Amino acid sequence: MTPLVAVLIQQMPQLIAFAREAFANANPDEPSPTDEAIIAAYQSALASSLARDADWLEQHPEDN
Amino acid sequence: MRKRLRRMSPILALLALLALDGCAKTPPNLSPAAATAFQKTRVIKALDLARDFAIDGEAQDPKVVSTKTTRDIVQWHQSSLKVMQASDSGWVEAVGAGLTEVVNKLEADEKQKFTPYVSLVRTSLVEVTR
Repeated sequence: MTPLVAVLIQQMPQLIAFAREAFANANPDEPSPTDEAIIAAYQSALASSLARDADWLEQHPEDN
Repeated sequence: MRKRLRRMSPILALLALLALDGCAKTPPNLSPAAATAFQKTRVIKALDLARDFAIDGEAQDPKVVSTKTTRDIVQWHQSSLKVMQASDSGWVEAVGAGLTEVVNKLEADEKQKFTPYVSLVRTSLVEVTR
């Protein structure tokens, strides 16, 4: 075993950690959504969707 | 325009199905209340596609979807959302039962037009129960 290979094997954990960190920095994870953001998105979707129903039903009364 | 809308609708529904499936997992960091809100938002998006197809089809000249069918779909959609708003349990079954009921009301040719959207809603409901 050459000295270079021996050093590489010895330093393998640090090399892997360096590669992982470099990959993570190049591909940052999207931040996890918060409870508040999810609940606000739900309430917004619900309200706007119900509004479109109400608009259409108002413009098309049943006796027409 | 009418033919194009009819031809495009299954493709659009399939794309929507794939888009919904792509973000199917509820984020693991959420509280139970937020997880339920996340699932309900996904179902609302699927319900909206069916309702929007009906409204847009009814607005065409000549109509792709009849006004009566559109009213049935809009009323079912509205009821489904109100059930979801009122309760955090049992809403999946209630929305599914309402869907079956409204589909049974449709004429055969209109039922066919809504098939991709019905499948999309059913898939989104199944995803919630997984």
